[in-house]
Amino acid sequence: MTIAILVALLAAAPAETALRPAQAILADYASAIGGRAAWKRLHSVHIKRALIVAGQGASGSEEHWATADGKNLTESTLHDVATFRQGSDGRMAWSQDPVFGLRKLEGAEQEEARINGAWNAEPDLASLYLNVKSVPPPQEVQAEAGTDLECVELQKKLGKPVVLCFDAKTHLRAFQIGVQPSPGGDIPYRLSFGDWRTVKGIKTWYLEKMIAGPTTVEGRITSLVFDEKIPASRFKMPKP
Amino acid sequence: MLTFHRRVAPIFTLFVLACAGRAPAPQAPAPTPGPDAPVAATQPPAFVPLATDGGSGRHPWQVGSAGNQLRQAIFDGAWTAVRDKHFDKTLGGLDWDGLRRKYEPLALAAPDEPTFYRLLNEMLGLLGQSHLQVHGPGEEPAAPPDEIPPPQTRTAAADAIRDAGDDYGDPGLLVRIIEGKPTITRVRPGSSAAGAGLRPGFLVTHIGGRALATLPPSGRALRPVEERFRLRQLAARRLAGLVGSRVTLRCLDENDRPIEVMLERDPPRSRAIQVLNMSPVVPEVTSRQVGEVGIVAFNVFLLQPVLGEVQKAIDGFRAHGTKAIIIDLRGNPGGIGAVVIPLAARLSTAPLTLGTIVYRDFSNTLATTASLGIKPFAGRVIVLTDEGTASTSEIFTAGLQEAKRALVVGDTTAGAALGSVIEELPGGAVVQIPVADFKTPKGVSIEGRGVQPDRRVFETRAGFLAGHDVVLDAGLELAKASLP
Repeated sequence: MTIAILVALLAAAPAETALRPAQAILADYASAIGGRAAWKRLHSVHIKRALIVAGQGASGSEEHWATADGKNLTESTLHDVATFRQGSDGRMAWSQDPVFGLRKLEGAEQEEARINGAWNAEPDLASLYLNVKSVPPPQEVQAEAGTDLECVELQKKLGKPVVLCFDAKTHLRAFQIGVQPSPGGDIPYRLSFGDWRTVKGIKTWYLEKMIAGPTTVEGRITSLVFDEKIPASRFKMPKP
Repeated sequence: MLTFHRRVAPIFTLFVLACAGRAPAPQAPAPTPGPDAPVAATQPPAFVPLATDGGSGRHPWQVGSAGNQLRQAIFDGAWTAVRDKHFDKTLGGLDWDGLRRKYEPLALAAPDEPTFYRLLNEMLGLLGQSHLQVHGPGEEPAAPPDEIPPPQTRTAAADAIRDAGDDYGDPGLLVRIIEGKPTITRVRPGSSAAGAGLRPGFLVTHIGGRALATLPPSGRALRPVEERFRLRQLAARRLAGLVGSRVTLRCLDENDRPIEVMLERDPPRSRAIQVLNMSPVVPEVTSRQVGEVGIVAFNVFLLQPVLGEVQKAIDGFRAHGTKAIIIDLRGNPGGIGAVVIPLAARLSTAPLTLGTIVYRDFSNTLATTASLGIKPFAGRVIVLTDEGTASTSEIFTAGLQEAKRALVVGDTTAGAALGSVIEELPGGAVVQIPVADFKTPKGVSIEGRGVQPDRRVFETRAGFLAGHDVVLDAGLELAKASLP
């Protein structure tokens, strides 16, 4: 009788009480992707991706370079549409695209660029944000996941928080929900991750799907090379 | 380090189209008399062709008409996409499930593909909005008997054109509704139409043996400007076709004498571009200077190559000390919506907000930002409009007009100003879905209303016969009046 009541009470307990601490969830993620030591051995990365815009007659490609001293550059091309670049020389972040031209990023956009450009921060995600806390999985991703999720909310220094959800069994990233600041306002997005592979002792996703409003873009890594020599000149901001 | 969500903003921004010119897909070929018969003439698309189907040389619509399974898939795809992506979750209060119950059996049992697509579009038309249409193979009725296919003689030049996918052209005339009648308003110099002696001001009664006075049935009542816009599109569609094929044109000349000419379709002047499932288009940018006034005209809002050429023209005008710029958007049906931002940035020394794009769950402002190395033009700006000025063109015009950065000269615009995506459906069909409303900074919706010109100019047949461009003349007068 006592046991039955206890089971019933546990089952009825609010979901929040079942949440594991955010730091524990992130620590499990760090281990699942190879651990800090494996990531710290890397000095640079050069990634190529193929992009497909689902059902809208467009595709493209993307290259990303980054180095351990915080320099990075991403160059994305949508065939017959446009090419856009975003980068940082380790101190100042900039963006160049045909809509907004060449500009230094400021405010929430700069903060977003800082987080995205941080070198190998995957095993230390909490260090990029003001604070982190566990949250229940948002309904929109729980239904799609087909597995238990553990989620954390990470608060940026500027702008709205981002929610990362991890597969409760594998501890790998499954979803990311947030807003992307832009000159026209925040754009809500949702990312999902898949096709995890191990390269040089670290585990990373090769497939990423982004949904923003009516648009779905799939990015698939076609080449990933660590510790390639990348000249510093690559990261210079273009001249106006 | 690895995520690509930093590209959310630019990718997302680029994929919202505001283009009212998505053409119906070409029709299935008419039955051919025998195995050795020439390729059947096809009803052409509004601009130029769709891509061929992966190297077989056949266009997708030549594969065959939609079977019942395919019809079901097209119906499902279109109905579901509208339900899930339309910017208005309530779909205007319509019983969307009920409409499916009504239209699905009718559409699936349609006797032919034109009827199938007409019924599907009739259902979508009940929402009463632009940028909401389904197109697919076999949609247009069979080609009329007086269409002449292109000659079978192969030439290197013709093959080169076909290899490039640019095998559609037109005879070089523009037909619009002037004083209530289909009228030739422009004849391209050196074109087949010019060679046949056609002139602006001639009235057009038939194209390809079919009368031009009436539009195909619509799912809703059309506004007068919309009717003129659609008739203009219909005429363009009938005039376009395979390069070298011929089409008859019945006209009334300057003395109202009936004439009939057989026009050959000329090759396009440059390569057609097809992006984001929009109809292929041959981009055109022209610029010239009349005294201290610069004039730039372009026929579609694209990043490549149109934006760069227009920006170059504006920069050139500024460098030459031009005091006023006329931007001619007559007949421009829109394109990639985000192009309005860099274009407006070239014309404003202060930050400028053109309006707000209102999506299902969030909004985004069309605002210019200061780009490094850009010197904007500070003189007077005039925008020329007509019933063919639609969508992105209207967003651009309305934003500049409300900000008092431009004066608008011409006619009321089409009133088709929504953000949309064009999604692929099975069997080569596509559905265009309005995913965003547009409102000016003062909250005015342009959809269904259009931009009202500051100076309305009425075009007449007599004016065209006399060789006048009264809208441009009015724009020039206004531009010069402002000069110091």
